Amino acid sequence: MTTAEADVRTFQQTALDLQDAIARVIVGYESEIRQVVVALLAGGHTLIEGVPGLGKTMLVRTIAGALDLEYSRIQFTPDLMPADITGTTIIRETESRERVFRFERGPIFANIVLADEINRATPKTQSALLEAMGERTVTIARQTYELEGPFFVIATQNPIEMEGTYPLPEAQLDRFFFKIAVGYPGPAELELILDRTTVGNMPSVTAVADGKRINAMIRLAREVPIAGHVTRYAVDLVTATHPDNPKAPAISRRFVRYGASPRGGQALVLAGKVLALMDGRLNVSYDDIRAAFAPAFRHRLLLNFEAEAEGVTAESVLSDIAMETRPEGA
Amino acid sequence: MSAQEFAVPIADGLQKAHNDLLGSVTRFQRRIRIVQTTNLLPRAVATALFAALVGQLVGLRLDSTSIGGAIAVLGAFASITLLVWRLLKAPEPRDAALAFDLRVGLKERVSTAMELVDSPHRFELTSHQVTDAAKHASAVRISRAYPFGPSRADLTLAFIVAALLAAWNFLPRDSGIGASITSLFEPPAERLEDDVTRLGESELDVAPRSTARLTDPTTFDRLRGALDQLRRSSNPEADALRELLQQTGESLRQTRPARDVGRRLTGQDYEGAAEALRTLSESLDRLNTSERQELIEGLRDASDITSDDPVFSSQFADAADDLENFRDKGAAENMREIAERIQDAGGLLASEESLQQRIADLERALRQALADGGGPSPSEASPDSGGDTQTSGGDDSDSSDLSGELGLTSSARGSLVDDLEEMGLETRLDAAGNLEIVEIEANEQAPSEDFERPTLQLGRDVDVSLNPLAGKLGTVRSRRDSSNQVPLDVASVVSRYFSPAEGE
Repeated sequence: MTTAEADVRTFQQTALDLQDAIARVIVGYESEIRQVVVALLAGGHTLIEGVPGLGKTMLVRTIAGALDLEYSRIQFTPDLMPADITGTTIIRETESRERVFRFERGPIFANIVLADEINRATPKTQSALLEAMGERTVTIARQTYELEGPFFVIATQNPIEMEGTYPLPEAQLDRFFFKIAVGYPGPAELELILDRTTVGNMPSVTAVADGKRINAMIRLAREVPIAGHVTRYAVDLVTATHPDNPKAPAISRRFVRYGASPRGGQALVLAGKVLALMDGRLNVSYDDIRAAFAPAFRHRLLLNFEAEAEGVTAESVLSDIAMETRPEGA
Repeated sequence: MSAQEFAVPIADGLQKAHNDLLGSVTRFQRRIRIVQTTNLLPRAVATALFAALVGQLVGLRLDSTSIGGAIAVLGAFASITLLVWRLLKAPEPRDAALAFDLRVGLKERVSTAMELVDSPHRFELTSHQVTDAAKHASAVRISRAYPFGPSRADLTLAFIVAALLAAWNFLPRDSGIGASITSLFEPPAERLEDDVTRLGESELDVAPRSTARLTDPTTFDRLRGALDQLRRSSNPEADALRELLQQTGESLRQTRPARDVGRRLTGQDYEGAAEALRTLSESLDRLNTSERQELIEGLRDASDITSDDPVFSSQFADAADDLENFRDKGAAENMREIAERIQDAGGLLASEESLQQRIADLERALRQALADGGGPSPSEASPDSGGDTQTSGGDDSDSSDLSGELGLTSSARGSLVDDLEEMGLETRLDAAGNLEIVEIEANEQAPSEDFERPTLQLGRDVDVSLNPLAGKLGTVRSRRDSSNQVPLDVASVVSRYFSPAEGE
């Protein structure tokens, strides 16, 4: 077995172990867990959306538990201030009774940050995450602090409670690698959830990977080659969401106000690479791109008023685009 | 796991993997060609058979086996070309690799590897990816992945076309569906000939002299349709051509060398005239000076006469010029071309004559049928008159037989009269009440006011005065029939053409 083969095996196994570890606590949601793992191994941030009580926070806590990484949780509320996230400079008295400024790190300085109910904080506070998520740095009082990798923000939000919430601005949304929609569990899964969570001994999770391994896996994923025709397929999918593109499907031209950005295309390709490695392959396939399409694009599509009026969702638009955009040779 | 753990060395066996990969792709390319060619075979066969069928039908329609054959050969050639092109045209290796991936489900391994090998950029995992792709590609049983299998639709299509072709070739043509299909595709002239032949056998031959009539409306309609087609086929310039040749002949008759040619032309022996002209063209060197001069003048006259036909005229003029300048070879060549044109014109005129004869026969038959009360219902009757032929029902037939078979009610008779008038035909009734169809050609020289309108006389053995304006042929050929009374309900029609007799 060559080193590369071993590397791919290790990657595959670690990803599998991670999913298994999470699945030991979280019942069902296999595809959602897989999507979170893909985003994680691609080095991206994840926005999890679902109604209250579905276990979103539990999922993030479990992921943090499955990784031997520093974890912090920020409960977003309307009175949360940016400094509460990034940290602040405070005056401290030394033993020699000397008063000095010292930077007190906020909860953003962790490997895994749970931004719980992110849409409850004001846009000002939400924006405190922008620099950290995009550049993995925090600038306070003209001093820039680098965040140690791996760094993941996993945010949750509730789509139904609109009162007292502040929808994330597009710039903020675009920084999320994937948006994962969590739905209701099925009856069998619900039964299992009730059995597991209403007893004395709750299942626990053990760490399966540390920061170094995760970093190495992120680097390996970026080394996976992708053929020109597969990249072109990703490009076609991105441009198919642009309403001003004359070749875009009719549904895009009719219902989309703004389509996906190049960052969306990056997410598509990176997720494709991770999925290829998780499948034990050293190249990206059309299927990988297709699998990443909905989670990578559903939050990057801004629909127009007509779509809202007709009850058209981003999901249905993406589904049509995926069907109508044919890859080369297919 | 450290970062070094993922620092993968480039495999030494990249070249070998690449070669293996190319081998797999080449095998797949070959397989694609063979399978696609085989799968295309039923469609190609169907195309060729269809072309053969179309060729036969078109050949029948145009009365030309050569055109039909050409279409069939063209179809076969196109099919074979398509197959050969398909067999020889190899897809690009990259396209073949992608097709291989998609066909076998290799998740774009092979196409990615092919691209990586050709790319100047090397990823760290390139060699491993190529090796992985080569391994997967070589594990594929290409024959199983890409089996032979023409589509069922193509096979069905080929079978249907083959069955149609077989049916067409083995179906008896003289009856049933075979005859119907044949009649659909036969050229109009042949169809007409068939109609006339069939009718001649069954009805036309006996109709004039017996009581048999064209009682079948379908047959009547077919005859009428045939007549229309014949008229459309008629060449309106035939008379002018005949006149032209006549005048040319008269001109050439004035010359000693071309006298025979001219005589034959005026005698409408175009074949003989052409032959005589060819003979003359071979003996130009034996003409003396005066004969040569006469011939030159004759040809120039002919050129002037035929000035309406620029080609003909220039051929005569060129021949004259060549003769004048002692270019006998050129003159002979021109004369041979003129001979050929005369021969063609002769053929054309013969066809036209035959056509006119058929038109006349048909018109006669239709009028006979109409006069006998047969054919379509009165409102449908529309055998319009043509040519100079003027006939009426009862021509040469026994009037007593016909008089009893008019078979039209009074209102039907009235409608028939109206219809015929609408078509520009004049109608009138003879003393016996037989309907006469007369094409009026006004004789402008005739002092019409000097002629009184004919007097209607009823009773036996009365003379029917005929209108001299009836046409240049003078009379309507009809025989009196005094055995029947004129029905009272045709009085209005009668009054339009006859003045009441004095004292009646």
